Amino acid sequence: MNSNLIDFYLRRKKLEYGDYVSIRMVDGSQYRGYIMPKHEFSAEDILVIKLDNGYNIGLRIDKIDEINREEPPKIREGVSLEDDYPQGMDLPNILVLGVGGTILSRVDYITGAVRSAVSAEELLSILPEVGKIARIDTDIIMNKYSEHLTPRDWSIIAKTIYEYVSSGKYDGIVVLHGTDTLGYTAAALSFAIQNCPIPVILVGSQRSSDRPSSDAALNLISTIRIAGYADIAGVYVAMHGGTSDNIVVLHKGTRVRKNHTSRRDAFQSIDVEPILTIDESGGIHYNHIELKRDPDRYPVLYPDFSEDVALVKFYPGMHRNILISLVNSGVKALIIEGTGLGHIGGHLFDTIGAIIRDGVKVFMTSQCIWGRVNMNVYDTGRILMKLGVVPLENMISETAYVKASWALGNFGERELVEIMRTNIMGEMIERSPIYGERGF
Amino acid sequence: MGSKSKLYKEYDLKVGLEIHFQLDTGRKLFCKCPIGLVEEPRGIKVVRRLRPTQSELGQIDPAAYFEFRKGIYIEYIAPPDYTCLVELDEEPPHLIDRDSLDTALRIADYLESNIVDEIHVMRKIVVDGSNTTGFQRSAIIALGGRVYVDSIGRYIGIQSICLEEEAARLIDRKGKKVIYSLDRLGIPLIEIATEPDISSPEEAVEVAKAIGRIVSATGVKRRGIGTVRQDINISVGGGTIVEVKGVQKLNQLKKVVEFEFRRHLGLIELAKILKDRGVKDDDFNKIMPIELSRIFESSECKVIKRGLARGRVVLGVRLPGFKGLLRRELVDGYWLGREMAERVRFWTGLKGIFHTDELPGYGISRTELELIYRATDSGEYDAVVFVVGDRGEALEALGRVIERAREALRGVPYETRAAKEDGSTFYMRPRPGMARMYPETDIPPIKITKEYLERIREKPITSPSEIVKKIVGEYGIGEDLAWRLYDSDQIELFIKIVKTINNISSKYAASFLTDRLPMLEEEGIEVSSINDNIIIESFKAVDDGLTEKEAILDIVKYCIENECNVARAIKDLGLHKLSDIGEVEGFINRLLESRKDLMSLPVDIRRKRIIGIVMSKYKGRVDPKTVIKIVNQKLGG
Repeated sequence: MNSNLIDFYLRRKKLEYGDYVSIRMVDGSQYRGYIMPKHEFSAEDILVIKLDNGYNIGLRIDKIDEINREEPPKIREGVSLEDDYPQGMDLPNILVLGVGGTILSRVDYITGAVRSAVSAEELLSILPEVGKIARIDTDIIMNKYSEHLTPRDWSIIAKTIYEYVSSGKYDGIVVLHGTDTLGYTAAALSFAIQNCPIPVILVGSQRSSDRPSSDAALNLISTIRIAGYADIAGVYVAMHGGTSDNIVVLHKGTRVRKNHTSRRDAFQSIDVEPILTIDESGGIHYNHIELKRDPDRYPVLYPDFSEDVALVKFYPGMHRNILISLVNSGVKALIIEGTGLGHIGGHLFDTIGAIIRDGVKVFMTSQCIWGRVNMNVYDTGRILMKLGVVPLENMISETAYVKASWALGNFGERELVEIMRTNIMGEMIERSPIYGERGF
Repeated sequence: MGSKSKLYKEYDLKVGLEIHFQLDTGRKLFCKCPIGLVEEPRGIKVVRRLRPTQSELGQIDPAAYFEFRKGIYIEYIAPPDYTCLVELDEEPPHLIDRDSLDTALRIADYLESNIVDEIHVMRKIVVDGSNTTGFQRSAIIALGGRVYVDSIGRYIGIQSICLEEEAARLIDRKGKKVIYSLDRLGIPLIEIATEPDISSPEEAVEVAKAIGRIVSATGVKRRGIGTVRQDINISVGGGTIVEVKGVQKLNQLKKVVEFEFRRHLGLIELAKILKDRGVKDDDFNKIMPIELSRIFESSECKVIKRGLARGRVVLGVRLPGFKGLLRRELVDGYWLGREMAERVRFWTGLKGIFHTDELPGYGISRTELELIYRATDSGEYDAVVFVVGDRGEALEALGRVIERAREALRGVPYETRAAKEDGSTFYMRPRPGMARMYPETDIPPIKITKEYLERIREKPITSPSEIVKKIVGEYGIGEDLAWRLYDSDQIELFIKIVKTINNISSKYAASFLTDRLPMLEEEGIEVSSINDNIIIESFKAVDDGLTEKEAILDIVKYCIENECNVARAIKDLGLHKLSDIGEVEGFINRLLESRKDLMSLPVDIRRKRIIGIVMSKYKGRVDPKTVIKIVNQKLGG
């Protein structure tokens, strides 16, 4: 925040953010309102005031003649939601874990600042209907926008979830997560917590929850319903199934991808039907169940992730130095997002060969997103395979990256290729489906 | 008039206007969609629900919460020509339209308003569905200022100038579903709010007109029905300020102010009578709803009979001291009983109320009326209001009735009303608390630098009277005609026409636009939506001698109805000017032969009748002067 000048000004005037003040400008105009914190892009000599009518305006401090603290006006009463929805007794126990993102952020209407709010009480005060669906516990593991998460964070999240799953106290776990890297974390948790007795469902929102039009409410309520009532176990992602507020879709953790920057239905199952859909009234419609819930099943934890993996996208004109510098920086496994069926330009063949001879494992996925790589069809593919590049079927490249990181972290380099080529958590599908929605 | 205006003064009528003008700068305020409305909304349909969000105190606006609990859901239709993902709330807003901002700043400057140093776009929470986001994006551009209104000879204060996005267009309500079209959402809107300096309905019209003329002078004001909307704040005698929304026309504005003024006076009078009768707020604490169903077991009243048959109940409350007041006229055809019914309709699913002031009637007998009074223990001055409905709904309704009755003790209630076409108003919703606003974090603040302002000031708004003066001077038309051109937003079109014609007078072009063109409105053609080129081309055709100027209106109409060009219209309508006058002469000869009856008329009338018959046959194809000349020759005049 480059608001040093305003901080200085306020200190000198013995004022603070949130104070209610009256202001007279040099030109005689007068204003009354709260002093607001600055927007990142607000100019440095601007004092932001929230007027009584709720509007913010910016005033240049060198034009302020007089500024004095005053008693703020009274705020009129509103109604409170909670009383209408008593929390039921005989309901499933659901744990809501906070990792971050905007799904449960709340806005402070005075300062305009957004903060996360995930105490059970706060959750119920925002979504009182939840009290009728489940008994809720909450815990915040961390509070990060998902683009800031690293493989180390995946470990922390996995370990925490594993503890809660093992405690046997919960019928389902809901993880609140930013959407940018939601798919990566879902894949990571899928590999890290295997043989899971209950559903662990990641959920986010594409419109922040402080807006009346947010998708957070339907996403979260539906997710809690699935976690509490659907007969499934394992790691999943639940998000809007369309741009309307009527369907939420459950995706498998290893087969889901964010395919739109801003739409509510940005998340799609790739080359597989979603596990189930749930409508706004809570009706669950199964497509296929892979693992049912079973309280007697013991979860197994493989919590480690290596950071010596890289995911690179091939493009025409790609310079070999990019690959070389990756290897020089210690990368042990390289996932290439090739073109089409799994190709890269011939000018890189030598480099790829050299890298592989150096001991780096190189895997191939496709930047087409949908479909399977097949390196037997063209010369290019055949040459690359001869050089030692390992094709990864129809594994989506983000999942391939996560899987390599997980495999290296828990089992070391020796078994890497074999693990990568084995379907462990449904990340590879043998039969390419002819159904399925693609694109928008 | 004189006595009326004295009345406004005596009772201290105070009116402030909030006028909203749609702009057409070629794009919407926060995305690049073009501006326009479709006739029949078609496109993808999206269903959404909006949740009222909480304030920092964990509280929710009661009206917003009420809407949500009713289970209202919204269907949006997105006409693809005028909407993108931004309107669907599926993409963040783009940066603000600079042309709209420049326009707002020019207006602010013209109105001597204090332009803020940095503009912050806010989100104003609105959960009725009219915005897909659940909020309206709005920014204060300037505060204070004044406008000189010539016709009333004084300055009216300006409170604020805002730039905001237009809401979606309400198409229909069906039960719990509300349908909106998204073509209108996001059109730039300038809101100019005046101080409550206006003191009569006529002044309100003059002020609205003066401000409208200034916005017109920017050249980017949208034309047509619904592009300008007024909200009115009104108080009488320093009392409660009532807000009336949705006034679209100037004569409606005048009627609304008159209506509200009289309603206020009526309610103030009502409060006085109640006080004289000794009615106190405490009296209402003891009142309990009483079931009256048994009284109506064999009633002739259809509504009640049907209700009881469906297992509903009749519940009533006694209103102490209200006898005769529920039906006492506040304004023509409007009384307190109707205000109560409006409340009940807003807060419940019930269609209305019954009250003893209008009974016997509606199939309810004198005996039943007596029983109602007795069952509710009503005294000489008491009235009873009752409703038919499910018990819960009926209780809610009577609660609202009591609430409204209590407010009557204090005169005018604090509420938001909506204007009807005829100038009357009705209860719309309670006044929202302090508008809940928070910053639109997706749009960075905009600093208004000195350089920026200087650039704006290089192109100041030309005052409307200067524009008119210039038109008068340059084109030789009368000032009155020039103002009429101005007020119908046709100056630009007028100039374009005059530039293409050589043989037709400017005056003819001007009066065509102001007097003849609006006749198309009666045929269901919205004049503001006519493509300028059709009119210009029609004039050109006349100017080139292809047809006569009497035909212009028919050509324009034909072009619109058949979506064709001017040449085609002239051809299809057979409006080509007659090159052979002989045909006209022949027709007149035959006419004189066959219509001997004409010859018995006095000569002047005969001449006029014949000219009339000839002109109606050859309208637009022959110069009237030529016809007159030939007829005169034939009749030897």
